Amino acid sequence: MRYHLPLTHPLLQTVDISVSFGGLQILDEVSIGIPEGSVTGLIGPNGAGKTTVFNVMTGFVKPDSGKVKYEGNRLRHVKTHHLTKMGISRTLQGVGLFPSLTARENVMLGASGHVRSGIVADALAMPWTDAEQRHIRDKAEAAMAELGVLSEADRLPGEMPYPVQKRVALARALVSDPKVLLLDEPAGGIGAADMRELGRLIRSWVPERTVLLVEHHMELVMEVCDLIWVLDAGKVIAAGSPEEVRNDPAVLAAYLGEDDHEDDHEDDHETVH
Amino acid sequence: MIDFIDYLLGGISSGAIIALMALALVLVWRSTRVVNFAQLGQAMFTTYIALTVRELTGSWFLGLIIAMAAGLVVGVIVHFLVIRPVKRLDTSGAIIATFGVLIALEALAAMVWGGDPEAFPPPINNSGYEAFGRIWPFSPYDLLVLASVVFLVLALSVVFTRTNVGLAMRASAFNPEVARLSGVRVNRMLALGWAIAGLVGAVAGVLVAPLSTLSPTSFDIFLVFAFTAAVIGGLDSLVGAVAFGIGTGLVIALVSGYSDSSNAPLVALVLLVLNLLFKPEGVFSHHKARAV
Ligand SMILES: Nc1ncnc2c1ncn2[C@@H]1O[C@H](COP(=O)(O)OP(=O)(O)OP(=O)(O)O)[C@@H](O)[C@H]1O
Ligand SMILES: [Mg+2]
Repeated sequence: MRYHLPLTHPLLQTVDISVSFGGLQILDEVSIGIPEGSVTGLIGPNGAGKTTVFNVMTGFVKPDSGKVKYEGNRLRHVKTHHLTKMGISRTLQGVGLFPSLTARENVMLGASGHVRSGIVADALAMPWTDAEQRHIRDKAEAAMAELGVLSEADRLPGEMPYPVQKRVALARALVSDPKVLLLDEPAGGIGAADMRELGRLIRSWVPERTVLLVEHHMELVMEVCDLIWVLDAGKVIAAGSPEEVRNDPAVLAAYLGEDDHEDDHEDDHETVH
Repeated sequence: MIDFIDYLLGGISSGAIIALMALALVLVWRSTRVVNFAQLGQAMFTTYIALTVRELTGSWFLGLIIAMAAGLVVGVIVHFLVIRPVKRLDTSGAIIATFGVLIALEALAAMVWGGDPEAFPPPINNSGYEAFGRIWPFSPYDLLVLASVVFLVLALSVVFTRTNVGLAMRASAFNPEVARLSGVRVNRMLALGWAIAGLVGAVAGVLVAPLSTLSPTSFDIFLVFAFTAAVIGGLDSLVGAVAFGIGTGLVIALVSGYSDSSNAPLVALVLLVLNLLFKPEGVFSHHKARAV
């Protein structure tokens, strides 16, 4: 069964995306839409294919069939490095920070798509005369301030507690001033207080930004999402408001027999593929 | 004791040059995870270009600058024409392909410039300074070599640590996919790694030529030393490459001084084996043991 929901203005959507790895059907004609200015949830049991949806959207995985549309246009041959310039930003399941770069450098990197000066000009320009470098630094510090991690700017990721690393990763996604944020389990491995703050933060971004949230913590999902898509074994099995999804028998069945994910701490790996 | 000091002094400039060569190998390894066995072949080729420019214009410095530019270009060409197509199929193929590039460059050089060794005289006095009533094995040319290497290493470290491009290169080397997601044009950064390595190798070639001779194969031996230094340094550590490059130069100078210079490659290999046995991840690497 395919689930369709009438959506007026999806900013980002997948249309009948199918993906298989080695004969295994990972996504089966998945069509989901993210209305502009909304927080949209994408939930489902482990292995349902949520990260794979992100991978298709960001060009890491080529679908066997189907298409991704952004702002009404089909994304064809998307180059991953163009995404931030187009306004699409993603965080990885886990942290995905560069361990040998400081927090500030990690966040500055998120603005790479906006660096205009060429390689040679940049390499030759002396740092103290390089206005662009300073501009990016300022933006990075503003993003870190928004996430409350400015005081960690000169530390390496390994020196920070896990929840702080997650905030730095969020700052990196924010620094390119994205229209759409794809967040893959931003609450993984963080405590209740941090999670409440994360919920407030996500809500504060809309409607200027649009958020697609993959998350196992149901209370967070139910609290912040306007719309939720439910994926199970590569298929969309339900969609609707938090109320509707919570009471949907298909969703209950999919989660039945599943462990309680809220205590999952398998977040130390960066899942791209 | 005075012998010991003499040997060490005599090894400084060749150590500095080996450091540059190791640095070039590390730059390529960091960007594409390929050991470039053609690195010194490229350096040989650009040194011939420097020689030609020098013969035409009489300027050593102009020869150096043209060789550096040629090094950049050759690095980019090798990356795009050979490494990228082959690497798409498999990585070990790319490493073998660098041997192919080495052989091709040596053959091409022999065709263009002939196979006989050419003299590449130093641009300034290469006889030792006199002080305290004796001549020390350290010349104005050695000083020039040392100054050039220090300048280049400092310039590179500024680029790597202080610029957007340097940041993007470090990120691309560590995790290309996350770098791409951040908006980094990773393929360009990899090509830039090959280009800078080509430039660094070109400087090393021009600097080392007066200390040996110039023939299509005369730099081959330096590959052994540079490779040893790069591996002991951890293959992806720029600091390690420089430190162990100089160290290797000094060890070679001591071995050559106390025994015979023909023993130097053997000693380098012994160092390499000891390193692989006892600290296979390299001294400066932050990665776990590597599978090479
Ligand atoms: N590159 C790949 N090759 C083969 N199988 C893959 C690959 N990537 C993902 N899979 C498989 O696809 C399925 C869906 O994976 P995906 O990571 O998208 O799930 P998920 O919903 O994000 O799960 P989780 O909640 O555990 O993060 C899993 O069974 C996984 O093993
Ligand atoms: Mg996942």
